[in-house]
Amino acid sequence: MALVMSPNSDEEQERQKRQRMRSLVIALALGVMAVLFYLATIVHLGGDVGNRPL
Amino acid sequence: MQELSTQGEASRIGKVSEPSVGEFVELMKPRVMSLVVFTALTGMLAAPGSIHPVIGVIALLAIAMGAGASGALNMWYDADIDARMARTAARPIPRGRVTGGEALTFGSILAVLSILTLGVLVNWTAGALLALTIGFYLFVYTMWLKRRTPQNIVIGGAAGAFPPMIGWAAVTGSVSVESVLMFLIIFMWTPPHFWALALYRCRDYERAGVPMLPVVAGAEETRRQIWLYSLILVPLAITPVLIGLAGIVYGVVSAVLGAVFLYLAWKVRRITEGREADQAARQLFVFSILYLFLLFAVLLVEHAAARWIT
Repeated sequence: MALVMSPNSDEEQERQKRQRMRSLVIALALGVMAVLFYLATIVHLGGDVGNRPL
Repeated sequence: MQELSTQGEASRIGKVSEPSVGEFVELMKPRVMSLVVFTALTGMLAAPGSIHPVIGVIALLAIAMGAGASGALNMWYDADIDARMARTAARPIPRGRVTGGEALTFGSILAVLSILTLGVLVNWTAGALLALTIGFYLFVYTMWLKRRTPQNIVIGGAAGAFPPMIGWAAVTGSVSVESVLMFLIIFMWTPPHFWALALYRCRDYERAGVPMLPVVAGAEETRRQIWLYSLILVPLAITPVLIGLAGIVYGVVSAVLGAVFLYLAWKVRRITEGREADQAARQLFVFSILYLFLLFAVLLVEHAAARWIT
């Protein structure tokens, strides 16, 4: 039972803080990847992509 | 039940301190990663033709990610020997900050993402070369050669030599004599660089059971091999001038730095006893990093300047 920590302990707070930071970085990395794929698609399509007969 | 419950609690809170973002960054070996990005950028700028800046940045990011993946996967597999060596004992896994499973998952995800990104958004020649680099570093060097043969870093050095070739392929979509030459310079640089380190870290490698050349063949043979590889490396590093890959500034810098490299390698060969011997090996190790960095820096600046002017 001594192993069970109180949820308010410093260590638990530190653990949660690190977990939150990791989640944020993962979210940020996924966001950056989405933007990069979008930009690369636009670059590959070229500037005249909208100027074509329908 | 009580015991099970306690175990459950222990495993739940066993990792009281979750690994931080910084510890995952450490897994990617950021210093190695920066050298990889730097040589890949040189390969990109030296290549004929052009690449859209956005695609160029994406290529470099993917190459950096691939290098990070290699580092994480290497640390996952080598955690046991890393723990026995002073130089590597503070890495996140031996320190108990990241588990092997976390490193494996992290490295695998990075590897797949980096190869797909480079292949889909840049081109598949570069993507295939990046896959080859990661696979070579993990399967050929880390898993197969490192613990089995003193030729480990000779053959395994190929993994570190691929980045300029990947950069070149990102622009041209192909492999050429020039990019093979950049590969060969790093490939020939690797043995004297790592054997100089192994000379003064011999006991570390011995304790970890890694059969580096000084451990298996002795210091004398290592000194001889360092000298021989240096004799091949220095003229090879001048040849970019002869095939038009580099200009006169590179030629002069390469010749001067090459002379210093040979002098230091000769010192390593001649001074075989005491602290002076360790010092000579350390000097060569430190200079070898500067040597490769400056060669590629001059090549990069020459090509960047040529692009700026035209």
